[in-house]
Amino acid sequence: MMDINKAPIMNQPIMKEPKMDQPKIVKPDYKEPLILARNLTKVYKTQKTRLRALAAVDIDIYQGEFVAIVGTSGSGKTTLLSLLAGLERPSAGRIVIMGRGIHRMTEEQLVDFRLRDAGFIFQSFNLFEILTAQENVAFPLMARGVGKQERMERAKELLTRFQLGKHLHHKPGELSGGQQQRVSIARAIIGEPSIIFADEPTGNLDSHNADQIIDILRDISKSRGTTVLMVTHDVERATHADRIIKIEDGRIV
Amino acid sequence: MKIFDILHLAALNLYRRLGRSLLTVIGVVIGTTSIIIMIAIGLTNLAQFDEMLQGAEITKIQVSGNSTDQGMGGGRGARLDDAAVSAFLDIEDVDRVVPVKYLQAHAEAEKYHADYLNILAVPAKDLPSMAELKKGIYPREESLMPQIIMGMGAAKQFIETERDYLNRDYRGPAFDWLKTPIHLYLGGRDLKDDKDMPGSRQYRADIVGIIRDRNEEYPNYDIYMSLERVKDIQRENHKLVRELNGDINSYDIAYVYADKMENVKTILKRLNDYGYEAYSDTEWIDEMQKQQRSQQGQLAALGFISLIVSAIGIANTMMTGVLERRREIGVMKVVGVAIKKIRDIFLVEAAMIGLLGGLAGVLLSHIFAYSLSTGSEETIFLGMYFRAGIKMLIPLWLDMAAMGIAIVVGIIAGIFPTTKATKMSPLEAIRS
Repeated sequence: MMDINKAPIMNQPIMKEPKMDQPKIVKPDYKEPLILARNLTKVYKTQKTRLRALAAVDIDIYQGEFVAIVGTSGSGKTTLLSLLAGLERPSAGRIVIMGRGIHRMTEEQLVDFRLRDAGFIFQSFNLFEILTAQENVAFPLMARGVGKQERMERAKELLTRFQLGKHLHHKPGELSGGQQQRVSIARAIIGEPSIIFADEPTGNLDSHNADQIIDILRDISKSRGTTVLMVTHDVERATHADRIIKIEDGRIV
Repeated sequence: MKIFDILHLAALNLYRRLGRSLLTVIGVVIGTTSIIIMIAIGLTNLAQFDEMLQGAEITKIQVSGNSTDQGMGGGRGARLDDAAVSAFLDIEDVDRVVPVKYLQAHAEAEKYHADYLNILAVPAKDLPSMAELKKGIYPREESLMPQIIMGMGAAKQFIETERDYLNRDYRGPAFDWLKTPIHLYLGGRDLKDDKDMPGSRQYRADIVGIIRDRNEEYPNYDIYMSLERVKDIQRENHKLVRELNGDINSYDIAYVYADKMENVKTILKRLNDYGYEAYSDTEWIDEMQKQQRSQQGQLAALGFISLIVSAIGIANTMMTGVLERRREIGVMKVVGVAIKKIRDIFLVEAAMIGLLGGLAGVLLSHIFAYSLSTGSEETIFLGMYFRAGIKMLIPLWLDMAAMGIAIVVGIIAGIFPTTKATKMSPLEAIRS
């Protein structure tokens, strides 16, 4: 059992051992890709123009992979992430995640998918301003109907592990960018999702904090077997990922 | 997500935007207060009106004969006699008929005298329905002595000298009327000295009852005797009666009572068809009620207008709130909060604004009502007259209804912006 108090210093990966003080989540071992996308196409229509953001993309992502999707702005990388997360519907093509067709799901099923199987990290953190760090982290559990005492206890544990034990009752406005992003990572993983979608998670951070966040993400994927899908334009940091998918003009190159 | 969590989030959101929440609440307060006050004013006016109706006898029709018209039976004039009374009784929905004779008399009591007394002669059995007694008893039908009941206003007509007439504060003789016999003569005092007219017999009469005054300022001026005894007196003085153009067997007026107010109109028509003059308070009461209803409607409309204005206020606040919180809503969606739950959070916020505003509005209305009620002057407001010292009524149901309306308005005003909020694409919302 790992001693939290001896947690490594900040620029080291925080979680070294696969086994944490919570029981390891047993997930079915997919021989098939965890995420499978075929002929994925997205066309944005405005009154005058049609913009093809994504053109017939095929992707396979396996369990426990830390994948970086890189590309310049407007390349379609964020669109790809939105589609894979079920936040937007593809114009054509299909997405199968853990054997389930995301592209065919009803809004209700998508909400449930995001609630149980997906965690999100954003460039601008997007924490709830009116809630404390602890309440923010506990929010996904609240959405699942977990009782207050339990969810707050788990949020406290997670924040302590992320060196934020002293900031439990601070509002996001009282935290630094790096701290906020760690809170938001804690929020993303508290529900123990299979996949974490990260949209430019280092975009608003200085290099020290950015490195730290990348390390944490990597650690999550290695120690928990959680699949991490990160969109970034930071090619240098993307090299820390297991695999880099480069996207240009809506196509994988 | 549990209900408690939703309530907590909604309350937290309101608290965080305290300034704007309060402004919206004030809007609801104004709406609720004005609707309560408007309706309360209407209700108060209505209560005053009902109080007034208590005095009016809404089923009573006053009928008088018509000597020129050829009434029922073809050849006979519309004469009010026993045949007419029984014909009235046969009209559908007529409850009872009270024939009345007007009798003029003069009287003496000890050293006092009254020169022109107007006496109403009513069948002994109907007297209790015509006058309420303060003390004493009603005249008995079988009594051979003339028995009288009168109000203390009528007592002022007994004077000692002409000077008493001129004294505005004159209250009449101070003796105990129930123990003081009076002498009664048919006809006015002027007949006494008229040598050409047959003289009236002298009757010893007893005052057996004193009629209750309606209130202290307006004493009762009526004098009643039983019709049976008055007919005897007329018979015994038939020569004098004939000289005065009187008719022993006919009545001056008759009161016809309908069983219900709604039937008054048709009975009135029948009586007119028979050739009688008939009149009922119901006619003006009808008119007043119509006026009442339209005033109530105007008041309610005023109240609702202000409520709608406050509803728009809520909608506006919610709308800005939603725009400001697009990102938050997007995150909630992304985290996996069902659209229904997000909507619940916003609607609960709106309902809370309604509830708070409603509560404060109810409180404020009662303070208003209290301060308005203490006025001691007559007031005319929106064309409605309020007598002095009237208390403004705010019944519990009005409080409850106003609160309910405030909450419902809050929710309705919240629906549009909330629906809009939940339709936004999450990532778009987050990036905005």
